[in-house]
Amino acid sequence: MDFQQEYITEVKQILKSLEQSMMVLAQDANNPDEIDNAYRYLHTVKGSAGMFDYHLMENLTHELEYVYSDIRDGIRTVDEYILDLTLHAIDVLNDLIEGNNDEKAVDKLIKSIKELRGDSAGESSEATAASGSSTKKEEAYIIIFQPNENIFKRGVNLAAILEDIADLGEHDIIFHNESVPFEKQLENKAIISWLEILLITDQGEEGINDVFMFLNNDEYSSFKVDGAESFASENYKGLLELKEADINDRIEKFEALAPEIFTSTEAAEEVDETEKSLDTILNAEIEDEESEVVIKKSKKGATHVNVDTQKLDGLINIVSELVTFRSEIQHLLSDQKSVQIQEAVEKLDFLTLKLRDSAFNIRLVPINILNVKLQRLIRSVSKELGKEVDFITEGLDTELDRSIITALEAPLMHIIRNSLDHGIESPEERVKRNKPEKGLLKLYSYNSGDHVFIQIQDDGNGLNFKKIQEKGIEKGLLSKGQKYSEKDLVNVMMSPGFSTADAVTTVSGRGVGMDVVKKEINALRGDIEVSTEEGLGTIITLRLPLTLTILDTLVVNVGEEKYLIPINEIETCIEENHSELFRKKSRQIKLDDQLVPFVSLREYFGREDFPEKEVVIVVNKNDTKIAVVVDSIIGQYQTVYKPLNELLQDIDCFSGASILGDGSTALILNALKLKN
Amino acid sequence: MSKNIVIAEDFNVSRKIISSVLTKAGHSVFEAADGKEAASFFDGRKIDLLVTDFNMPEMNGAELIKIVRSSNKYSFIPILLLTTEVNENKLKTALDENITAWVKKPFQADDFLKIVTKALR
Repeated sequence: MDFQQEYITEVKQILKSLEQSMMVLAQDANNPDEIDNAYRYLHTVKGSAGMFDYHLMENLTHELEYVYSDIRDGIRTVDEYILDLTLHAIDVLNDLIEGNNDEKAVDKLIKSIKELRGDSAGESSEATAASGSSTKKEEAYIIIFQPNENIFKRGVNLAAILEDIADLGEHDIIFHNESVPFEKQLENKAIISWLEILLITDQGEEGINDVFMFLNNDEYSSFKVDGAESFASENYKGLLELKEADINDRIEKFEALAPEIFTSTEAAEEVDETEKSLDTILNAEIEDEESEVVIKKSKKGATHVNVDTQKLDGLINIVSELVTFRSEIQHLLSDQKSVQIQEAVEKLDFLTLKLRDSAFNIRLVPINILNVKLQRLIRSVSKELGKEVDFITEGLDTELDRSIITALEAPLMHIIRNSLDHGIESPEERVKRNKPEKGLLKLYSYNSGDHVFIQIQDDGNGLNFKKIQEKGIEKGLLSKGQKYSEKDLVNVMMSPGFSTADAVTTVSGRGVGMDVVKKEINALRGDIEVSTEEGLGTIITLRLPLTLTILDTLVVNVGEEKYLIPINEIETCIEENHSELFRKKSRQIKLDDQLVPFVSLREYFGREDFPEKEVVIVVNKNDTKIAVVVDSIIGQYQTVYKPLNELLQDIDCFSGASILGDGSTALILNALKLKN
Repeated sequence: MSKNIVIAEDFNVSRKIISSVLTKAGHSVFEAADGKEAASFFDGRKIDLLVTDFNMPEMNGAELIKIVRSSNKYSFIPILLLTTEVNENKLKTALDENITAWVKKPFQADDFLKIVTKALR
């Protein structure tokens, strides 16, 4: 059974949910549903951890469960300390499930939890010590068996219990209070009798307890009889009040069952278990009366299905192939005159696209899944910096491809870290500037066309352009005395080797600057834009494609070779004579009174045989224009983007490859890189 | 003899383990991920045993047991309650004791099978 992997995935999921509950509780400490949920999550993790030998995990959740049990019962309320403790525990649990057994961390946490719970923690370790020794010697017992009225309602099979007793050894049953025959009572499922069972067994106390496994402690008790003298002991007297004649009757019965035991009648006044068990029965009853019950209805479960990403990728691959195949069929049948075939192709077309859309929809996940991580980050960073921040989110149900979301995590975290560190001022500073003491950080997201926009806004200090310019000059990225636009300065800020923080703080000084953020966003075929108002705040806007894998492209050719250019990057296409284009050495083309540099692919790849008429494709990416000169345009293709393998990744003028309808391969042009 | 057993447990892996243990022992198993789903198996068909978790979404163990017990057909079937509950007394009172036994999680497959076999007698 390979449940292990599945188990790990499931526990991780639960820990994520627990984290989410913590975030809700951070805002609303008394939310009963969330407290309930948190408790249930811990409980589930604990319950399963033991089965997979995750004992550290079991111990930790076990302790934590007490805390949430107390919270649920209103003995304790969720406070900052508990939140931090739990969040820390979640991290440790995540490590444990990954196989990083940091025993010290677990011990430390358990210690903190125990300290939190104070003296009462001592009682928690109720070891259920099983009575070990199994006697093989035949012994005599009297069992008083008095089932509760609800024994049948509990689904306990009384007849089976009587059979089991018979299996234990020689026995005799005395029915008390038998106004109705016992068989009749069984049949009616209404027990009014109590039974006195005389038993000779070599299975010991343990064997008896096994038979009465489903019965409560107050429903039966057993008493070991060592001989006639045992009946005189106080323990026995407390159990049954029998007249002398009755006792003699029992002794006779025992003698009949096991003469060996009862002929050697030596008085052995052993301390019996009976007294103890009676005590526990009494105590249990008292506790029963005292404790009240709080059971709340569990919250409705989410209507989500967990799918292995590999399965999903498999599906997407098949759909992708299908999209390519569809293009191929279309290509093959393009000169078919039959209306029927054309209709069929159209239908295939329609269905394939629908299938593709649904398949990609499955891959889409809401940005919300990053929310908890970001909230935790904000919590810890603002604490570290001694700043107070309200974090507001909007539109986090906007969906993006899972791979994009994953890749987005680091840059988003960096941006937020930056906002907290450099943007939002300290509370004192804010008061001085007539701003509310608490800073405001907003994250909102929305769809527009094929793109998703994510904006991170803070009401902090804004970008200090003067400082950026000074720093840029200092770093040799800008030249002195020249006037730079705000846009230029933003670009400088996002170029490698630039960091405005005077001191590298632990918060943002993690070796990544905005240049890395920009690079990561660009790698996702997205853009980053910064707008700022000094003293008022900054808005950083990320524009991202919905999905990474399907691309609308224009197929162009240079001789036999075909290349793809993403349609969303293309501004215009113009036909031009080769001689006209190459008349000037400058390699620039005039476009709406603007000179745009161009690159001839033929020239670029070292081919000389230029056709007379060439096509100029003007690409506009991130407001940078470049024109690409090719032989001709073949057509528009919806292609499936495949990343280049490692060997080719250094060639940055291609961003990927794709298979065309006719089965041939084409490279996807990254036009901006042609310039170099 | 093969018996029909309903397992109600929201934690998938636990449920699958229990299910596989019981299936290996030759029983027919109906799996449910919450109390509501479990209750739907008690539609008049022959069910010999209910193994249920206490804390579940949709409908918890106590509510499920109440529903099962309220039907004439199932009012006497054995019910095993899986629990890691810290305070057993509380649970006890909550359930009105209409269960056959508690099974404390975690448990060993052997021990569990022993209890099941006993409950099915």
